[in-house]
Amino acid sequence: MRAFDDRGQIYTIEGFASALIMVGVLLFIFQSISIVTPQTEKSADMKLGQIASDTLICVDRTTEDCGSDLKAAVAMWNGHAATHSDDVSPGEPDIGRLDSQIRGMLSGDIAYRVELSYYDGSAMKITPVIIHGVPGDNSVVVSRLVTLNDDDRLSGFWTANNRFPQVIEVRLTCWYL
Amino acid sequence: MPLSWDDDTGQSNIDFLFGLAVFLMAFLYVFTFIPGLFVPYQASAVDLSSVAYKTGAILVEDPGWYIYTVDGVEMGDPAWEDQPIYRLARIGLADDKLTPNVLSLDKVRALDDMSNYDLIRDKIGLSGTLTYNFSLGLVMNDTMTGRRVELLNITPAIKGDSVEYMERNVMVDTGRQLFVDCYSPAMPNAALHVRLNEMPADGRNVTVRVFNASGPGTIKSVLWQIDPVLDTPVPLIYRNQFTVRKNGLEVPVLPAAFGPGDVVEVVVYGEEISDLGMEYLWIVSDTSVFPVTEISYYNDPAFPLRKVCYPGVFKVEVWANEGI
Repeated sequence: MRAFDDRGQIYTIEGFASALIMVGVLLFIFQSISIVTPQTEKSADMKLGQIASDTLICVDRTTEDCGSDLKAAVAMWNGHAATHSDDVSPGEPDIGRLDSQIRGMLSGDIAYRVELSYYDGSAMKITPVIIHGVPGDNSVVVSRLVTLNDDDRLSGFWTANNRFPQVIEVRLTCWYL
Repeated sequence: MPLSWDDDTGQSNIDFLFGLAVFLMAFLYVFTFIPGLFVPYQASAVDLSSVAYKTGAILVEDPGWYIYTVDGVEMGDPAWEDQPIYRLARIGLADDKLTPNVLSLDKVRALDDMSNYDLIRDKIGLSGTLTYNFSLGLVMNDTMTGRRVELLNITPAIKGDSVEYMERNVMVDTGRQLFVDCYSPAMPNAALHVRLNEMPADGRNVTVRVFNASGPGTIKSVLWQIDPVLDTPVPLIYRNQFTVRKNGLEVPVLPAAFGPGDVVEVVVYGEEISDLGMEYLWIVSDTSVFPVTEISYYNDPAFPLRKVCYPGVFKVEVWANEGI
């Protein structure tokens, strides 16, 4: 056998030293990168979705004494679509009122658009009525159904072409700027 | 390739096992004897976002609950804000279950008046097996005056390290008002006659909202009477018994002039109504701007009693309670 056996090194004080190094490395890793809790991105999406859904609930608030503003805006809509140059459907004062209500409920760093999905007498159509830019990444969509009934005040658009009665889906798309 | 006789890379000898054991023990020793080294990454912080969501949902979508007993039978009701605190079972701020996201201002004020942080924590469900600290805030955007009103701000002095929050958009129900649309009323009158005697004696303020006037007017005084025929109307004392708000701002002194675009709210205090037993109100202007018909405050076919709601943002923050 050899005279100088150098295999018994690790059960010395070096054990402690290596443990300290390991802890130091772990701490260094934990603190140098920002630890992302699982599903952080999902939670941000969920919060935005919740706010968007709350906004639709609030504008669709119906009480025993006054009808919902959302329903009034949809029922009086006359079929004009919004474009990128016309943020809000032109010639639609009720949609304009809806837009200012939604704007007042969402914070300034949230952009949105509103679309109506309906049956136009021959096919399903999706028409944007409020456009504030192009949806970015991580946009969320919430929707609410509006039913047009017999005794509702309706615009000429809904009463023509067998478009009534029907259920209209109002889609609100929100994203962070 | 021939094996080397002095090859010392054999790994499964007793030296290696012993060395590894010493290393592991030293590692665990360092790990456990420096408390708080990895505290921010502990498991208890993981569920904070769902706790924040749950707390926000209960407060915004539920009207709350209180428990009372009748002949030994336990009963409950959502109107907890009028009850003594020992009956309180669960705090919720919604007007009722059918209208989520519409918060009752009475309930918000009742919660704001509760000063016991631990009691609130218990009644919003944050003191189960794990206890959480929280802060609650509600800011209302008064769209009539354009002011932002902080209605609720319950927060402890010290906040934790990792705070999770949930924001909810809500409407704050500030109470009912009689909406009197004065647009071209038939046979305009200088005095508005409001009948109160059908309303429940619940001590609530009576608010008459006058808007859309056909011309300029001036609120001179408000009078009350019990019998519309036999009694002479008695004037109420401004700011002691009633107040007038123009476009949401209180008028310092009467008379108060208003125009067609203005919204005038006449608020008669609830305790005065029940103390004096008022049955009729006269709101007097110097020009003929009001409808001539007598209006029932509580149940009029033409002039509705409506909830006045303003948008607001409700925010819940939760974090782990380090003390336990």
